[in-house]
Amino acid sequence: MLNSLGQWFESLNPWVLSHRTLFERTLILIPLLPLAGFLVNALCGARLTRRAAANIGVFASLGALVYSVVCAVALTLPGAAADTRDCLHAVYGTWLRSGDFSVSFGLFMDRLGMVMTLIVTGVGTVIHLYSVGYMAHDPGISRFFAYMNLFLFAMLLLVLGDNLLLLYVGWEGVGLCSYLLIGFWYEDAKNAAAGMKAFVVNRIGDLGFTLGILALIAIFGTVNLVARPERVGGQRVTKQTYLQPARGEKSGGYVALPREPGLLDYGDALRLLSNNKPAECYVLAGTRLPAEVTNFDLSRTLSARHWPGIAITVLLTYACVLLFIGAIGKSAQIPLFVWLPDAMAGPTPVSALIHAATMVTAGVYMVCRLNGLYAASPEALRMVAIIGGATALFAALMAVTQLDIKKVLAYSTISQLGYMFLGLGVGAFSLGIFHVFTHAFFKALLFLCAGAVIHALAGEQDLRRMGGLRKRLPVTFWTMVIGAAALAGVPWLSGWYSKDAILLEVLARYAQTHDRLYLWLYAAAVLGAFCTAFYIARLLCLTFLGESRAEPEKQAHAHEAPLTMALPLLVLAAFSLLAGMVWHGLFIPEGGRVSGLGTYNISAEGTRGVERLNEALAFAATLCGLALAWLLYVRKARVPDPEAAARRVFYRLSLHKFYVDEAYQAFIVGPFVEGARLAHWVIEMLCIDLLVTGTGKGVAWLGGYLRRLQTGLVNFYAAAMLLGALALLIFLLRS
Amino acid sequence: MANLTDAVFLVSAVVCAGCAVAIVSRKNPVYSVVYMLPFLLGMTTLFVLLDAAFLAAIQMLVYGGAILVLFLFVLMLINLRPEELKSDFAAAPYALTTLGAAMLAGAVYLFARHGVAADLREAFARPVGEQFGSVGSLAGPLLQQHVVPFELASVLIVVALLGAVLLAKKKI
Amino acid sequence: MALQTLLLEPLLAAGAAQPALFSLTNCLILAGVIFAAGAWGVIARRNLLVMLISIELMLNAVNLAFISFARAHANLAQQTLQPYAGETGQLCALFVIAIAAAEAAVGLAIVIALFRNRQTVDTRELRTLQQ
Repeated sequence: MLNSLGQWFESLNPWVLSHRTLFERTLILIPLLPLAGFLVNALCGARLTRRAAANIGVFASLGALVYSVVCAVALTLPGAAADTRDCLHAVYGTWLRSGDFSVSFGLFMDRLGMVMTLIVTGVGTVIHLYSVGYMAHDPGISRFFAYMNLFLFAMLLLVLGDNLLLLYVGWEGVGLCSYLLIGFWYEDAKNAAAGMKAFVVNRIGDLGFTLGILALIAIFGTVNLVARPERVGGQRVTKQTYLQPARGEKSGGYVALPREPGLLDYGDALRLLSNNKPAECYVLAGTRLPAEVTNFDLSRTLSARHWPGIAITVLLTYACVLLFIGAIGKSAQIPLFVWLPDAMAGPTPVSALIHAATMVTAGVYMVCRLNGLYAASPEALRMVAIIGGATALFAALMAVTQLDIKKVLAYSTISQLGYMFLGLGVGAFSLGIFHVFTHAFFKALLFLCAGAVIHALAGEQDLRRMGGLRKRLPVTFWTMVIGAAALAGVPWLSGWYSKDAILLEVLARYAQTHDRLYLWLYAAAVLGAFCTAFYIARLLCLTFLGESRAEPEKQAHAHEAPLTMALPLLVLAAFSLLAGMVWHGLFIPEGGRVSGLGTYNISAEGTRGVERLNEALAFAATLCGLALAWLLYVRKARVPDPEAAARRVFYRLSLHKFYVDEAYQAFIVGPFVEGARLAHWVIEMLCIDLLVTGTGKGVAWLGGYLRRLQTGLVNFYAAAMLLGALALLIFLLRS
Repeated sequence: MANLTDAVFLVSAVVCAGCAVAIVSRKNPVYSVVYMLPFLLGMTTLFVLLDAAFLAAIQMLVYGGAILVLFLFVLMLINLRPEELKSDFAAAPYALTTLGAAMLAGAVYLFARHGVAADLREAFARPVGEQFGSVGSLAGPLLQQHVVPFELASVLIVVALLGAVLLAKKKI
Repeated sequence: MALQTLLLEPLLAAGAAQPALFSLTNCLILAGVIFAAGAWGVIARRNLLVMLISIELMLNAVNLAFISFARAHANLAQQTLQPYAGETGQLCALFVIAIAAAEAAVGLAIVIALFRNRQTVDTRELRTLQQ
């Protein structure tokens, strides 16, 4: 039966190919449907019933999902014969034009974009469905769905945009929606403050991002991520067509033809810089591009700039580092991670969608999209790896002692993002995306289960007051077990595939280059894996196992989630279970370096010995973590007690998140506020009050003083006249 | 013994100056008005000395015959109570007296020190023609060069007349 | 006869000598003194009537100055080539007299009206314009 289905699929092939233009032109439907949902809910939300608003939100998201699947099928239908660098691309018009520099509004979907779009719309739709049940009693439900749809629109713009500026628009849009949704229950000032914190910290990163974009414009004169399709000799020319394999070269190398300014993407630009030697474009980390390019003036393909004597890698490194700073802010890496735990003040579906599956992975997507540039600047990749590894470890350490169920998951997210960047940093770009893929499923699942637990216990979030919910919430319990196992890296679940692959790459890099840095990173990653397994098992034990420590009335009311909330859990659990097994081939390059996503991994090759060692160590770490947690929280049935354990230094450090927030408050926020107060005193008090109000008061005082001239006494007026006449006389006589 | 002119000038000057001071310094306004008459007589004499015969006549007629009478009538209409005559200074008396003395000194000093142009002084000392200051000699310029101010002055007088009547009426 | 000669001769002789006091400067000094007196009267006296009289004093002083200069200019007429230089000065004085008359009339009418309404001509009482 599967065979006939496959055959039927194949028979669609010619129709799909011939109607490719149709699919390209209608790509805009994918972001447009959530936008329409946003507009309806935003403008008419007050007049709609709760059910109608929810339905609009869910169906807008569902529509986007359906059409993404359609486009994905259209893209991948040609099957094995397809070029993995093929894409659907449509340009809708020029956005701005300034001399040689032009930016157009266009959307494109290649394999990478397809994966991201499916994640966003798939997990998004599931979470929208969950929200119908979760937010059913909230009066602001239409506002909620409006914001969620707006978020989907912005995120889709981010992943589908064909130039960096459009990506940046989506970048900012998701930041905005994050602020709106974190502070959704804005009547409580803490939530509003958390929203502001998220936005401000994001903004700090965005400064770096902006500078990075400007640097890229300065170097290349273009912001396009994909070259324009155009017509040559009446026939439509796609990337496939004009990127021909050079004669005599192995397949996998391309020669680019000169194009109009603004048409190239960065990959092509790099190829041109390396003087069309394809093999050298894909450099191994640790080696440099050959040319110390002294003349940028390569016909009209790049902006005619002259950078004598500066290696292109130096310029690129600056640009890549700046862009990565943006990713640090958006994806909550050290040092800009402080907003994510506070963001848990928002509703749980928001945490699941934005702060687990999609928004925070925008940084990973960006680096992966620009993998050609990062591959050409090894120092930038090193920085990425270091920050990713450090974050992976430290966030995991912080999560170990947290008392709030959502905070544990927040730090877990930060830690897993660190793993993704670690994967990117060692050159395995597709593995970073792989971890995004799997993480989206199990982390969203974990958040939604936590939401179900909170919903069941009527708002209780403290782990110390949970327990014994296994019998009362069976569906939630078992799906959460699956999600936790995937996170911990239990073999053959989705998380195991992606995390192990990343760890393997790090170890292989060390084995190849014997660079001590990678050894440290590997050790940190393994330790982080141990902590991960520990804290997630701790979470499970404290929440579901043992005796119930909740208040009696909450205990009595604990009920299983309704269908609209349980169904998404089941769907996500299924994906967490199977996604790795089914799709790991797409992400892990089998022979050669080009992954199924079309990215070229510059990571190291691992020998069999290294593979075995890595598997063993990772498995050991997971097992030890789970065992320790079981020992402490099931056998000994300990309950977290911060006061008692406060004696231990490490415990205190971990509980207080290594005092990072306090350090920021003391060294950055505090002086800034004091400076603002000083400025207020100087500018407002001195300048405005003194000058402006003072002028008014001075005039009034002068008037009061001069009023005394009006004596009403005729004699006085006569004297004044005489004086005046005398003065005039003297003046006239003198001159 | 000086000239007759000198003597007459001296007498009239003393009368005028003394009466002027008396006018402004007497508390009782009746005295002020009364002292105006010798003052005007003195002025008339001075005018005659200065060869302005017609003007001297006019001065006596208008000032003495009309204005002074007006002042007297108004003085009659204003019933002044005795206690009002106590102190009549508008502000601090010492300051005002000092001011008056200063003004006097200034007036004297101005002309005594700086004086007038020499040719004017010299021209003043010479005698003038017979017809100077007579009606005939004034009539010419008055009705030829200065006919416009002449007419305007008549308009002014009519207006003043009407205005005075209206202002002083009990009921308009 | 001898008595006549005794009386007349000095007088005639006196009439023949040049006047020493009667000079332009002294006339002007006198005018200045009278003007100063009038100005002081306007400034320092509270009685409206006395103020008006002081104004007349000032006008008279000005008239004296005009007449004095007219006499001087009459002799300068050939040099300055103005045919009616002296007469002009006297005509100015004439106009001043006319205007003074009109002004006195109106001023006194105002005093009467004021007295009728406020029963006083004391400037210290008439201070409604004071701020």
